[in-house]
Amino acid sequence: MSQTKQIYFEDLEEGAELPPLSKTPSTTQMFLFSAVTRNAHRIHYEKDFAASEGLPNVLVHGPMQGAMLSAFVTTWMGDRGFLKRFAYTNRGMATPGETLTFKGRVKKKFETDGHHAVELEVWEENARGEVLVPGQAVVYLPSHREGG
Amino acid sequence: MSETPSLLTDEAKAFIGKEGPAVQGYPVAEHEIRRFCYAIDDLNPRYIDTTYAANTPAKGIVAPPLFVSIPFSRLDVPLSELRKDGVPANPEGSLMPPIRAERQLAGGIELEFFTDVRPGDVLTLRTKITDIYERAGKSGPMVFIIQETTYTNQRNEKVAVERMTRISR
Repeated sequence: MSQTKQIYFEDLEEGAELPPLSKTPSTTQMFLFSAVTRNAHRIHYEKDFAASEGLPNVLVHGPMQGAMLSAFVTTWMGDRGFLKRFAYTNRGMATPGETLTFKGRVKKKFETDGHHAVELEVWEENARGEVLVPGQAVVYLPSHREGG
Repeated sequence: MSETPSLLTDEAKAFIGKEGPAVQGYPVAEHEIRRFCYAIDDLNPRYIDTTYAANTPAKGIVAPPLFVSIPFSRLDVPLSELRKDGVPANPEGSLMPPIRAERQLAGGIELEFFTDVRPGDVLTLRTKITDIYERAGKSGPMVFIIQETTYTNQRNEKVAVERMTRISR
């Protein structure tokens, strides 16, 4: 298995966009996420129960979308990156079979406690371009000045 | 003060600053990290490929950051302790201020990370209610509960702090 090439602090400009990534969660994936998180909440696997709560379908777990958004960042940052902060909010509903796209941009570059940091604005949107999960991340990146 | 009925009682306010018991997890296992990664469709070899990971700066498998809340048994309860909707009535270590609200909404989650989680680590979590406040919403009062969970490892190093906002209305 290979990993994407390492990004360095100097490679980035404020405003730079992360390459977008699309995923389409299925009920199979949702089943696996329920199992690994021991989440027995019926709105994630029982359509009739979801309907009884007024929902259009079973719902893709909020924390699953948060974890997928964080994976979008940790894949991008490379092996020498460190995810320092990550925040997200589940604002809208996602249902299985919907294509979700993860996007992001560099909001700010700064140095803190001897680390080269970038603050990212990241989000997950649906096919209609509605932001379902807004998020923010701070990532420490290697710098060429560290001799690395 | 307005005459709007408040959801926030003195009894609920007394939860501010309240801390739950320390809850110890079970040892982090490489296979559980892999299961988590597959479930979120994260095939980053740092997390799942032993040979690859040995040659990274971490010199071995680490868990993806959001794995931190996984290696705990507090959601493993007998069927009789699950509510009708499948959710545990009161997971170990959680703090639920008594608020008579019809709806619970998830607010945001903020995480700060301090060090990696690796196979063999045993994490401990501790939850504290750091704030409870009420705001007027369009459809009536809304109560915001800010809950902070600190995760430490077996060397008592701080691993992560999670700040979660729960909204009741």
